Amino acid sequence: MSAQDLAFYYLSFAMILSGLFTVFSRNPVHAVLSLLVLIVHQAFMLYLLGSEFLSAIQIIVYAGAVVVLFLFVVYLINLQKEARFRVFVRRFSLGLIFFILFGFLFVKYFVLIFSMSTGLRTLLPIDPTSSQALKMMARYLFTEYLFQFELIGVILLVVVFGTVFLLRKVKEERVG
Amino acid sequence: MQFQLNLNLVASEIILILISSLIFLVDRFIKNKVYAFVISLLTLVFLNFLIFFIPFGKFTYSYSVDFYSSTVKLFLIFGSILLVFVYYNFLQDYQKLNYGEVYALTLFSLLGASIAVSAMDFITLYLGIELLSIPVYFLIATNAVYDKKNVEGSLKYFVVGCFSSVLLWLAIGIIYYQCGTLEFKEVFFNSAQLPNKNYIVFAALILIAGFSIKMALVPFHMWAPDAYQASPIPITAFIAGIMKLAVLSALVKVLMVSFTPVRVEVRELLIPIVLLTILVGNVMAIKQDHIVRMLAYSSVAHAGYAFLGLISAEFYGYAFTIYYMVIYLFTTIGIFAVLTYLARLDQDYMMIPNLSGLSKALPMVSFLMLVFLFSLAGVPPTAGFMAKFYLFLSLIKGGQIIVAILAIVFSVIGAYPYLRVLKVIYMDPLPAEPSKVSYGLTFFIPSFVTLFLIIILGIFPDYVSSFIQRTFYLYLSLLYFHF
Amino acid sequence: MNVTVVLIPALPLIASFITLIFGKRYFKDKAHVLPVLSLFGSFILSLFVLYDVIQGRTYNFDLYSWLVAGSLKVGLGFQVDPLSAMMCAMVTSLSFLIHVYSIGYMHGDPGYYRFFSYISLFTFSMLMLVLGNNLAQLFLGWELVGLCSYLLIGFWYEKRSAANAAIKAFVVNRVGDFGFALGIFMVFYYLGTLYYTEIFEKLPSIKTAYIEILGYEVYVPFLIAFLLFCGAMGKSAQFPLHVWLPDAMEGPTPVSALIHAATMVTAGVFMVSRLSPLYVMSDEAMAMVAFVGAFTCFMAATIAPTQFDIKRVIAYSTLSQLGYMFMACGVGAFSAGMFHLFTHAYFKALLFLGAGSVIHAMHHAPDPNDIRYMGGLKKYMPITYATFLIASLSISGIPGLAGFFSKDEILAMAYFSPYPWGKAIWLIGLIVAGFTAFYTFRIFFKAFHGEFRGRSYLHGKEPHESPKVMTIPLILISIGAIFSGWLGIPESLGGGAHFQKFLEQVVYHHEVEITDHTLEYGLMVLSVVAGLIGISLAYLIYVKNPRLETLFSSNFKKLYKFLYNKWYFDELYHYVFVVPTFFLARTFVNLIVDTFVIDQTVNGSAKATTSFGSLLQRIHNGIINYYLWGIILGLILYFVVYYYLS
Repeated sequence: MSAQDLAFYYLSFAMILSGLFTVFSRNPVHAVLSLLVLIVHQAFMLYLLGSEFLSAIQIIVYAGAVVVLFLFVVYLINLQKEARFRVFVRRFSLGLIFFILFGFLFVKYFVLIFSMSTGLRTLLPIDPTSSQALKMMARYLFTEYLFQFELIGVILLVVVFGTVFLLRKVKEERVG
Repeated sequence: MQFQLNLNLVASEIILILISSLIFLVDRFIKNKVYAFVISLLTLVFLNFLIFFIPFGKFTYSYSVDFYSSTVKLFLIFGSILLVFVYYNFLQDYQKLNYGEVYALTLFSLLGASIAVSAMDFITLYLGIELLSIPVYFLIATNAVYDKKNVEGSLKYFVVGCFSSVLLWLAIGIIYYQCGTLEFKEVFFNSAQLPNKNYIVFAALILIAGFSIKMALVPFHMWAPDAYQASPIPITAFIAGIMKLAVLSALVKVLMVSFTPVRVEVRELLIPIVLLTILVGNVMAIKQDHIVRMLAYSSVAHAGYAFLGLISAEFYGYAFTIYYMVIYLFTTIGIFAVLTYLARLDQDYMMIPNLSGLSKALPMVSFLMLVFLFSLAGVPPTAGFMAKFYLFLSLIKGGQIIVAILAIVFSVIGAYPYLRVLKVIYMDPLPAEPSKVSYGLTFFIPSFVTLFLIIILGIFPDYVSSFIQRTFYLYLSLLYFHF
Repeated sequence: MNVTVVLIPALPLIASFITLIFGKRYFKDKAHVLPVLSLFGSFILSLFVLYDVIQGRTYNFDLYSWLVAGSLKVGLGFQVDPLSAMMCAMVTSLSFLIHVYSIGYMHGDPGYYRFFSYISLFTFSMLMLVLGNNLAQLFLGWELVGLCSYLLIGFWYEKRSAANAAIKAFVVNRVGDFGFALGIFMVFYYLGTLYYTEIFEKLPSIKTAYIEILGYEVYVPFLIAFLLFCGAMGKSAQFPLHVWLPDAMEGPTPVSALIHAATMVTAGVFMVSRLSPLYVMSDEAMAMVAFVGAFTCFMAATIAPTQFDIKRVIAYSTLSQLGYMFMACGVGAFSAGMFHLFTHAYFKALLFLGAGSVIHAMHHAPDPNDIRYMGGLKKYMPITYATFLIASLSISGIPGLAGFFSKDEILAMAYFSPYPWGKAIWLIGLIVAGFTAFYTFRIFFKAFHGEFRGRSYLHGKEPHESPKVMTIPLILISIGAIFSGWLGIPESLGGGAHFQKFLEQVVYHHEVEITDHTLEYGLMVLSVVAGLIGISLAYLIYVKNPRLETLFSSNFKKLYKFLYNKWYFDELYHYVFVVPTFFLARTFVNLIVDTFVIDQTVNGSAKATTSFGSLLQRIHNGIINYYLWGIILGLILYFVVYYYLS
């Protein structure tokens, strides 16, 4: 089993686990944090699959923006105090165990991967230094998959419109 | 193959985007919402004609205008035209919901529908279905400010819809893994050469499961009654009629083009679910007292009937599936037009027992109900009977005699809920003379056009059914000829 | 000429629709005009057509094709040949007279226009059934007839018993129709067509076809014949689907006459005769037809003498006579069966309309149908008396009247038939002939002779003869009841058996050479004697010595009760079918409802949550979980099938 395989299995396992945490944790804050863990692992997975661009996007957009927004929302809606803090503290020990476990594995395998500094670049599907991935993606997005690309734009537009519509109604109701 | 960006092909889609965005932009400044109705109506009527002039061809690799998609779009847009009247009729009395955005979101959803049926690869298909669904989530929640039930219905539908998307993605992943492409025809050619087709069957299974959620097959159906009941009446009609037709047409296209090599396996997969759907949908409809809930379960059962054509695993069966859904679309629009009228009256006519003796007070409305319910029940002189008949016929021709017999038996059970409503309307005494509201042209147009269609297509069913059949043959022959 | 054929059913249909739509507001008590005129028109047209057919011109054309799907073509087509032309003439003539009669009978009824609209529609349906050139159209007419009978039996739907009887008729017929539909489906499956002519052409191809059902090899023609016969049993009220017919008496009397004489019940016999080449392919099918007919014939004849409702007695006599027709079919004498159908139509319509006339006069009595309140009506209602007498004599098989010739034809055919069960059928027919005469004259004597027993209910008034509009049809029909049999006088009596020869152009017939005329005369004498014995027995008991009336009921209590309760068939069906069905339906529905957790959400919506937070919670641990469980269940189901496949 090569290092790449090991990394793949670790990441998959961690993603499934954190996904389950996201779904089953009773505390919304935990859920959002588990989601963050999931997304970070996902980013590494993408990297492992050779698209370092997507990996970076994943970290920046999802981990950096979306999940933070989620957290804001969770804090904004009126949660019980204990849900926000006490339960979190009570399960701190469990969290610590997982943190150590994950951290250990995480460090171990990535040290392992990056320690093979010479061989690694050839192992990866796309050489990160001479990145073709971004170019390829761009070319596909604007030629062959142009239609889908535009379509996603329309979908986002609809979502914005819809949200504005619902909020507009809420607002008008409050005013009138 | 030459890569094409011929904007003429997507003219109707561009018009839909522009018009609905326009409505979004100006709605805040116009108090009288009739404008939205007029604009939507004119747009749709225009598109209905435009469909005939759009040349056949492909926009990139993923979007094709062909016999199949144009035909289905024709029915979708025609249905939407009728539905827009129902919208108007409904919103007149529910001023709190009377926003131009309701029309605009519907147009967006229609856009999604038209993309889904024109899709030539799986990603476009997926995106089309998402675009079809997302506006509907908002539409169900239209009334959110006044009624939390609507938000609940909307959110439930959303969660279930996400599940459906997940399944679709899983299927798409497997297909890509097996065939190395996502284009429908290439999937067909690549999968036909595979020595072991188990993965393709598996992908078809997951894909069908995803579509089963959208089509509300049993046991994927539980969202349907809640969502139907939570939505405003015309939007229920949209979900039950237009959405189902679009989703099913997309599925038929995929099965017909990509999964032809595993047609027989797909049929075997569908048999138990479809029979269960027809049975449970019909039996559950019996118990309902709320007429929309009853129609929701009936819609579940009717989706089951439509799938019978897929069980035949023959192209004419597929054609009859579409035919059945088209007839169901007309019937649904008709019956919801009537319900919209009833909802405008003071009495709570949504509960079936309250319809007691309606025939004495509102004979015309009762007669419309009679015809539409007969069509749903499959009573002979109506189009509903013919559509069912064609499906059973295709089953028999496909050699599925036992399935046909079971389906016939279940459809006998299925007549009961409708006859029950009719019994209440026609046989029971009238408690008190209800208040009346004038009908108006916006009531007459959708209800009588559908009435006319249902009766005419019951007496002369050949015109539309052979039209659809011919469409299928032409489509398929061109598809493989031009590869 | 095609137009003429199309017009025959079209006229009543148009009249029916116009009357239904405009009747309430515009025609009111003139609602009968259009249906009566249209029926008269149909009658005249069908006479023209009949004349044409006698001249040897037949028609077979498609009006329009309803649907074409592959090799299946279903259209509206007309086939006019001796069989359908004869039926057509019979149906229109009787229906016309019954329409006229109804003008008097239904006078003043609030649903006057509705009634005329329905019976016109009924006639239309029957004509469609008769004239069609394919099985699909036969089925269409079949269903329409069922629907109309439902509407007409339940015409007075405020009356609970009438509504129940209507539902009973509908449901029982549905059972038969299910078999019938399956039969049509089998025909299409094996022969690939639904057109009579093509079916007959292709019949040899299934001569040796067998199908395996539950491990048994079943002969395909038998299976088809059996399934189709299920429908015939329903429509023609043969055992075991006979229970609806006596209850159908709840409808207005003209309806009973129409159902029993001319239209609905004859459909089964007509169908069997129409498809006679199919039936004769399988001896088992013939035996089935014969014995079902014989059993019904006998059973009904034993029940009839114990009933007191005048219409019910006549209803049982219909059952019994229909049994005769099937017996005839079952011994291969289809034309004899059709002949009896033809003559029976007249004398049975006459009996019913006569009974209607009596009921009309008795409508003050607590139960106007009960013969125990009647008696001595002879002097008040001379015309009704005379016509009723003609009908009774005719049904009893007194020589010279219509019933004699047709019944005798059946008995002779049974006796000389090549089938081994012919003699047994003949014996049953002979016994039943005696019974028939007995119970017919029982009601005849009870109603028209002796003392009038219902005087106390008439408030000093005398019962009176019915208006002319009712008596004239009676007289006209009685002409049919006397002379219709003369069309088929057998050769041994110096006639030409024209009727049978006319029909044998299209229906199957065995070449039976009756060489021994002495034996035939002997058979005739036997059947006449049986009838005379029945009549004299009735005379002895009900006129001469009324004390004897209770002789049977008091000495054979058990048997009498058994017969009085119609062999307990209603109760049997109630406990065997109705109760378990209701039980199953209820448990089944409840089971499914509970399993699939349905109406929680209705309660849920009622206590709709107010804040978004609790809403979120609701979705979290609320009902949506069930949805997802449903989805997972569905996936598992798919996986199971997938696993099973691979």
